Amino acid sequence: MKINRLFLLGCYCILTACASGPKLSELETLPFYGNKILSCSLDNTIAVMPAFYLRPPVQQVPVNKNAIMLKTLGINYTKGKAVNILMDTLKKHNITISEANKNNYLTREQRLLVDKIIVLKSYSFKNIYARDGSYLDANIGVDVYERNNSKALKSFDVWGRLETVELGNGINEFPTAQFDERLQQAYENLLKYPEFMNLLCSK
Amino acid sequence: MHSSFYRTLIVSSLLVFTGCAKDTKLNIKEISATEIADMEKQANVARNAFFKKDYITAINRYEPLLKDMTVNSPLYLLEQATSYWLNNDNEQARKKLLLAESLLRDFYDAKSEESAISLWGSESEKVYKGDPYEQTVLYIFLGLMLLENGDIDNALASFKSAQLADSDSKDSLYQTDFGLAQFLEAYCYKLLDKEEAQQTSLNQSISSFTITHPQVKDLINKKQALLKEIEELDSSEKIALAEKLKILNSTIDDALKKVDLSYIKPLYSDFNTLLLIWNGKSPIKQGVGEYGEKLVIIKNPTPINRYEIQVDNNKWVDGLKGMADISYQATTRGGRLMDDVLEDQAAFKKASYQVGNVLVTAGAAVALGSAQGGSGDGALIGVGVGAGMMLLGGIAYGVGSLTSVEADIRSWKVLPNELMVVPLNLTPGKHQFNIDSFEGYIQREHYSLSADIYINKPLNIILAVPQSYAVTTK
Repeated sequence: MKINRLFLLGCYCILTACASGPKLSELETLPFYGNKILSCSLDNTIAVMPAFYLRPPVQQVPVNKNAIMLKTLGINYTKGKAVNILMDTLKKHNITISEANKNNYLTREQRLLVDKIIVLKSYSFKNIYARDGSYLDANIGVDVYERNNSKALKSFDVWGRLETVELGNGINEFPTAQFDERLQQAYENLLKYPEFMNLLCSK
Repeated sequence: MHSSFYRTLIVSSLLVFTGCAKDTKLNIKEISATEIADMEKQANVARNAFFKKDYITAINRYEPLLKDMTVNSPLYLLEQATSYWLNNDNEQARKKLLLAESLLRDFYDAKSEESAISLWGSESEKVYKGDPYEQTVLYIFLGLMLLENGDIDNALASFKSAQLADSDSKDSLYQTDFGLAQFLEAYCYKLLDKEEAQQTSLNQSISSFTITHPQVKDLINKKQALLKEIEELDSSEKIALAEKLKILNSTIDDALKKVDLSYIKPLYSDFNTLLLIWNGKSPIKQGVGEYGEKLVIIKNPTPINRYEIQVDNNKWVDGLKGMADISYQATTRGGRLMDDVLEDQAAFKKASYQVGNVLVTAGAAVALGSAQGGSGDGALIGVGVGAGMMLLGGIAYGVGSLTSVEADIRSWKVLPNELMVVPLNLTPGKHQFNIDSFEGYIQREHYSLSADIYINKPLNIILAVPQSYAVTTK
């Protein structure tokens, strides 16, 4: 009898814990990229371009009819927007940007004015739900190139995060998307990363 | 300008009369839909050789396909001509293009289509006629061959025909925006000392470059769609849209001002040589839908989008984009975006997955399955190219009786995605060209070629083809 009571109490505890979920503070934190945005010691001119194969996140196709399809975030968020936010973020932090290559109608003369090139290879979004709010994450992948080298110097994979008190369940309830803002967070984390900034700002 | 037009017309008419005198007969071999498909399989072997740059094999592989005159012959003649051209045999290329043009000419004009039908008989519905962009490229290639051979008048007629093929004769809204055709027309006028006409054509060429520029073309596409909508409405509804058009026009004006015209400064310079850089592969036609009945044109973008050229290990010049973007031309008519266009192969896979929702229209379904009796003999109007071209006025698009559900996806597959243009003024003799290809700012490939420049040619044409037709990036 006593064992039954203890078993029922145990089940109740597990169920209530599952229903409420973890708190935001209990969720995994992002990797540490740096404390503050770093500045360039040299006035390098930076060009930004999307990778040829860059596409918005793709909606996942359900495996079978019964599978619950979680909505993939940002399927209509264009690569042009993602590149523009990167350029705006760099400009905001006083990095000199080449505006020449918006449409690949670029001359050799204009290309030779550029010191380093950032190629945006990927971007995606993720929401993490807790009982007291949500994390709105963005992930970006970039390569850094030197002007006269067809091989990337290094690749970087960086997360950015916004915190909101809005709740969601990922199936039909979502917090406000804020794609621009979370991408900006990811790009700013890139600018905090000493290895990235050293490459970007060296001759 | 007018006097020059009439002069060209007279020359062209003479050519037609002499051509008529030859009165060549067509002996068409009737073939079934299955045989057409089998021929296409064999043609794919030739195309694969072409893409491996084994042009001799490609040329030879087309030969058995051209042994009998069939509904596929014009297509294979065009593809064989391209192979000859890339194999530096301009004379054979010119002959094959002239033959293809003479077989197809009458289909391109509603007035002469009847004679084309009598020429091809019951097979006429199945003849490969090409989409307007293919017809335009045919006339540009032919014009280049004629120009290099010193035939300026017929080259001029050919470049005019290219522009007509790119326009929609039924609708004055959609005028040509194929900059290279207008640029070459201007050059012909220059050779003929028609300064005013040269300037007019050059201005048209600059205008085409501007309205097809990536900063503007989407707005132009929207405007053309809106104009079409206005045209189809009654007067009360037109007023509401007129305001929308006014706002759109103002946005377009702002966008036009932002286009960097210094990029195309080399077009104004003196030149005796035109280096054309062959970039990527042609757009793809595919049938989607339950029975493959819906025709879609899939753009075939390539990562390589820029070229820098060093001439004689000395001076660097840029390959100019935006003068002959074949993918763009394939998916628009005079700036109007067709509604059966997919951005790339990935989009096609997506469309195939959700076939019921694909944004396509039933395309040019050609009667591939209706091979019937009839000899199909008829009089072929010689190979005089001029007047036939001048008569060309329409688009043989969507011809066919829908008796077969499958869309006609035959296309001129050995075309580039885009031709980059480099006007050069070179001294006679041998010259060396080092060509760097770029994905935006990043160099991906390098190749070199040399070419002889002749003083007696009206225009020296050099074709630069990259090491590989399908460059991939990491």
